[in-house]
Amino acid sequence: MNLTVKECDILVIGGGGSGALASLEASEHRELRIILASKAPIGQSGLTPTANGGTKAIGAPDELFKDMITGGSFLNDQDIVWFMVNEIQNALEKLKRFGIPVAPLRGKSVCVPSAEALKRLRAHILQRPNIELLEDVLITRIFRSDGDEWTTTALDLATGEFFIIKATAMVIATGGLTGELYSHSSNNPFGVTTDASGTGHVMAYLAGAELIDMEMIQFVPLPANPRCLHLRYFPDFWVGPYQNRFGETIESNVSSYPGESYSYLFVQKFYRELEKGNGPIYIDQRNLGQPEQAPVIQSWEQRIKLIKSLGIDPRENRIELLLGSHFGMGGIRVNPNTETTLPGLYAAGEVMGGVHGGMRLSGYSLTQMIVFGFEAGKQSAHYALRKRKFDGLPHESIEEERERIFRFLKAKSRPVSVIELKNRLQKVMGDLVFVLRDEKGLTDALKEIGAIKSQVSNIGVPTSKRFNLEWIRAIEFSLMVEAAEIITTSALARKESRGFHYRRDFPNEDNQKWLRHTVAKLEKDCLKIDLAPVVLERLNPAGVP
Amino acid sequence: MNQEITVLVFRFDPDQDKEPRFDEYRLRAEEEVSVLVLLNRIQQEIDHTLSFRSYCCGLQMCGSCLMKINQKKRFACITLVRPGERVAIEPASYPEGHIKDLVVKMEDQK
Repeated sequence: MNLTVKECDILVIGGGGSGALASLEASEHRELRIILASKAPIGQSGLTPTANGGTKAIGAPDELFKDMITGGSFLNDQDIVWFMVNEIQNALEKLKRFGIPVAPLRGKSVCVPSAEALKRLRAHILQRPNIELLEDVLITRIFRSDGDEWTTTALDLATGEFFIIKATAMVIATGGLTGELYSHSSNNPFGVTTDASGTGHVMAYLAGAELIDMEMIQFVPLPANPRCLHLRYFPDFWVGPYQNRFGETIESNVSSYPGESYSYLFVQKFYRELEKGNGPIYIDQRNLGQPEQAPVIQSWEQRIKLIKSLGIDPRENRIELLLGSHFGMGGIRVNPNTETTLPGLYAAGEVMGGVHGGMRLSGYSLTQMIVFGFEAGKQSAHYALRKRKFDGLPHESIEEERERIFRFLKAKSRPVSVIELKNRLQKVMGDLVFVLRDEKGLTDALKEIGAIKSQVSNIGVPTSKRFNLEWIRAIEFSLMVEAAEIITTSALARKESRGFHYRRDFPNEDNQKWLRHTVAKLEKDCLKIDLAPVVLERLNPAGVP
Repeated sequence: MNQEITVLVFRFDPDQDKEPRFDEYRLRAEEEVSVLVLLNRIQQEIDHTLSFRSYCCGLQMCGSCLMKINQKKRFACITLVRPGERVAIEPASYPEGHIKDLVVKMEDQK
């Protein structure tokens, strides 16, 4: 088998903000050759372009720190958070040097127009002679070679060519994982996917990295009609009032909750109301005056016009709500320098764990993206500069992966489609691994996930290799189902309730036993969950010495 | 209002086809639906061979779903089609930068 092998010092995977910033930062070292691989053009994949722009950055670092740690129910990695809140001002200064406007928004937030920012970053990337930008390239697996060098298998989506990228260091910046696992998700504006499929989490795990606190998934109220998802960008809308189907107010104003409408306490209350049969829940603002506008956000006028043209102005319509997935707090285990537990492997952005603990507060994910995007670029460059080179490729692993990928194209006697399996997966996740969980449900979920996993090899796709959307979805699904298994197994292991992880059978937060991270890793080809204590160096919960 | 929407889609796979063609799909819809959602439904429920850029940023800013809809360049994510209507969908450019069906290469704006 003759395969094209591309070589570089640093491979950055992911075309969102973290990946773009990591590659630009690393490329400051002109002697390093960097490849940035993204499954779509930069700015046209992942969650960065969907962000509202709010970035928490203003105020004393220790205040931001305290907000995050108490918001996260003390499950955050305090070193990572401390680093982030102290570094954000620096990082924003660097961002401005790329010509990206950073304007004060309100409270502790500034506005970083994320879609616009990615367009500008892409232009900078194209100008850097030492960055090779590979767009429409899907990384399918990563392998750690004996000498701590990294090899990846890749698919050029435009042609269907399978090839290899060899790198001394690698940055995983593949974003979130919750959008595809639940049928309703903020990650899917207008009901269309952002492909935040968790492939980076799983590829790192399969290569031997550890994933922490994967059970922690943020669920939030969302408009039931996908077309209304645009309302997510109107923070004032989410204040309330929330009413049940009898017109009774279940919450008049969510501002009193830490995290507001993104609060796990409010979301659990919402869910219980649905369980009691009092749903659907609505926000009814037809009697309120016109909202105050936030002219700082670019294109605000356009947004107002859009909700009117889509017929979803909340001042004219009662908006029906559902709960859906929003953000994964868990992720690849790293230290503040974005180093994973494997030498030469770095992770930045939503794919990294430890930042938000049990609950992400709004505005902190762009802070995470900016700070750790730059940091991963810096650290991976230092690694690549001091590392000896090794030759050799893991030929057997590459061949196995090639066979696995191309097997989807072969004719099957009883083929199943991706959507069939994805619907099954979303059903089990929505039924049993959602807002309120228990041992029986999670155990049943694992059985069903196992059954779905065993069907993956029966997925059949059309045979043309050129931009074969169904093939891409099959490859991603094969990793997504692993992510579901890891999340569910981690949720089964955490026998307490904390942040967004609520166990009916263990309804209390247990600071004596459970100030610990769940640590998912692959051992002898099996998923194993270990526990690791949370380091409480700077701030302790009440009653914990 | 449960009626059919008729969708004509430009199809061309340079590796397999001699020339481009239009395929016609009919979908039932209860209310207005965006072109991007229609394409997703066609790809998932009717014809797995259809290729398009299925990404949506939700802010009509990323440009991923720019295509020719009834001969005008529009964003498929916010272009709504009513039950009973007919819509023709073509790639944003052809043959320049065309990859397959509705997928075109992103232009480099250096």
